[in-house]
Amino acid sequence: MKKILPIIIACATGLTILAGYFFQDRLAPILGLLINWGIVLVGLAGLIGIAYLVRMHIFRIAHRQKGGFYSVIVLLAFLFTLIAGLILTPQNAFYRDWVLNIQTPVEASLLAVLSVTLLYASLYLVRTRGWTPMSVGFLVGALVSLILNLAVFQFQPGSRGEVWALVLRRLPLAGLRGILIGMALGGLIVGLRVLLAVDRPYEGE
Amino acid sequence: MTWTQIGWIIIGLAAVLLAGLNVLIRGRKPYQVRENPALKRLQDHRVVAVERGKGRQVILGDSFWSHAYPGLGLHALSALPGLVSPEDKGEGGQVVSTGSGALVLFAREIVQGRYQDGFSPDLQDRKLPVSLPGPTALSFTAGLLPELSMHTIGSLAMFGSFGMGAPLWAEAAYIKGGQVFAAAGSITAQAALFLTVRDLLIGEEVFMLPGLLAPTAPNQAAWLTEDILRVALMLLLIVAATLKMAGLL
Amino acid sequence: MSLYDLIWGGVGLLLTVMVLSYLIGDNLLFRLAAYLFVGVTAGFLSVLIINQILWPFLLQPLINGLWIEKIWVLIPLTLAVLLVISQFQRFKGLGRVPLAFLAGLTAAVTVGGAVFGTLIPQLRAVVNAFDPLDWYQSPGMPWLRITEAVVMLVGVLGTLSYFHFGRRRRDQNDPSEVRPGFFEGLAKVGGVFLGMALGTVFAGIFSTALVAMIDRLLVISEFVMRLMGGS
Repeated sequence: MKKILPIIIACATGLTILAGYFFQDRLAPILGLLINWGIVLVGLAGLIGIAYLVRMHIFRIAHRQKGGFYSVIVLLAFLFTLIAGLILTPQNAFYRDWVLNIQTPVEASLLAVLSVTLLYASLYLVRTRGWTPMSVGFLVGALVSLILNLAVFQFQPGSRGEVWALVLRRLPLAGLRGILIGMALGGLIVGLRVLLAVDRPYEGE
Repeated sequence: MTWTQIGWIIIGLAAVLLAGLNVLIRGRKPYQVRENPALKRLQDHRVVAVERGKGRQVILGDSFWSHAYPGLGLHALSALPGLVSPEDKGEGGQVVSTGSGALVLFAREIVQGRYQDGFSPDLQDRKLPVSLPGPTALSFTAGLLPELSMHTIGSLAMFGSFGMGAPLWAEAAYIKGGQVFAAAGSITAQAALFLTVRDLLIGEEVFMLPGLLAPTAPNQAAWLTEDILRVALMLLLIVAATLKMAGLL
Repeated sequence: MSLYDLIWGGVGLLLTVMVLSYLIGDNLLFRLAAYLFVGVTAGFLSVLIINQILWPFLLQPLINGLWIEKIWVLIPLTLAVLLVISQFQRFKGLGRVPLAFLAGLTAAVTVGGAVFGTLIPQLRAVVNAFDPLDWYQSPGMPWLRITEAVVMLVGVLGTLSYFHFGRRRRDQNDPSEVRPGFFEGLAKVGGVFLGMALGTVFAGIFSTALVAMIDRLLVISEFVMRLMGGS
């Protein structure tokens, strides 16, 4: 029973949701209810995940491990943001400034660092990938897209140039659609494996 | 026939094939799939990492579910058992990192389950190497980069749902002399990693991974089902396009 | 510039420089900024989860709801309690029930999302491009639309062939990476389309990251100018 109950719950939940897609008119309220429960659990899982983060840093400080000083920073920042947020609420102007003035520059700067990494990596495209049809396609796609986005060439409406620019812009769509169809197919199989209890991540299998 | 009906037929066909092949394939000749040199290199480097006492890092992505790529979170979990074994507790160790609380919980179940298979006495919960360096995509990157720099990295394997921060993780691992393997699910991750990571699975190839890591009957049934469905979809596209041209659809 | 703005401007500038210092390698400044960011984000996310998920979906109905709402909320409450308790090693097994619920729910939403959210719309878009009515809608360019539709179909078929898992059946021990004949041919075409698609997306990512870099440099220069009394 200990093994079967989770399987029954997973399958019953999944099949009810799928039935909800099929009989949308009749099962919409149940569908909404189950999804709300799911949101609660995902939210709670998020909190538990953060507890793992906190625990890891406490452990590091307690055992004087490498990087313990940084763990103090994490914990202080976490506690201040959590307590201030619960007392002041996220709508408070100071609280918003505190969060945004730390998040925005760090996030934008990480992207800036990424731009340099990508620029550097692009110089070594051929060394990493060799001359393959795909790497040539990649190079052509990237260059054409960058040139078109820079709007270096201005075309008259209805001119041949505009038509070619349109064609070049739409050409990569075929590959993108192929990737998305493939990913959807993979997603379908992965989902069905859980519904058929072939994969049971809740049991560690 | 409407497109919605076609959708249900695809789901039904996939379920029947998956269940049927799962039974039929047991005890028979395995389904022959293309070999993957990238994965072979990962496995070799993981062995070398253990021998040299270097760490192995596994990243399960930074989200459990996403609208654009709904299957990637579950896919990361189906691939994880193939990379966890009781020997991971040995020299250097292995850390499983993710940016999602839900993935942490599932990963913990899987890691504990695999360790128990090996009757490892070292099963105290607080020592379980499942970590969450940051709870959002960019904070995950910010938290992971110093972690990668602080430890010796023999190999870094990443799969699941992640975005364009991945090249930074890869670079950090390369700097430490580690080998990087990625099964990039999202298109942004694929494009960003194409230049930096040689051992890269792209697009639907990522769904080969669980079977390549552990070629069990269910994983082989999944391969075969996907191949059959893909051919069916290709035929459907050709037939539907022809009917559309003829004005019959 | 008020002192308040000056302080926050200074913090932003400092954090920017600290993170950008990663370009010369991992260092103390980068780590400080990174860990501060992780702590703040974790705290902020916790507040959001409590305020926007746990309070309205779980606690509020339990405290202020009607009796029927209270009964319904007992189920997610039980699942939530089991999930929390299961974090203690002794009660580890109890976590399987809420995790099974979460896995089943996610799997079904994945199946629905994959088929009705991605697969069908993409298939439709490819097929609809073959509508003769559409071809002749814009006068003078039907050939372009026909070519586009055909190229799109070939590109999608090629990309799908590229992903074919099976290999050509020859010798059992042949470590072949080659797909069965028909797929291998189409996959070569698909590889080019795949490359082009990824290249285009790469250009977008690179542009976004470059804009972020320019934005940071502008923020730094503006702050310094304002500090020095310039406009």
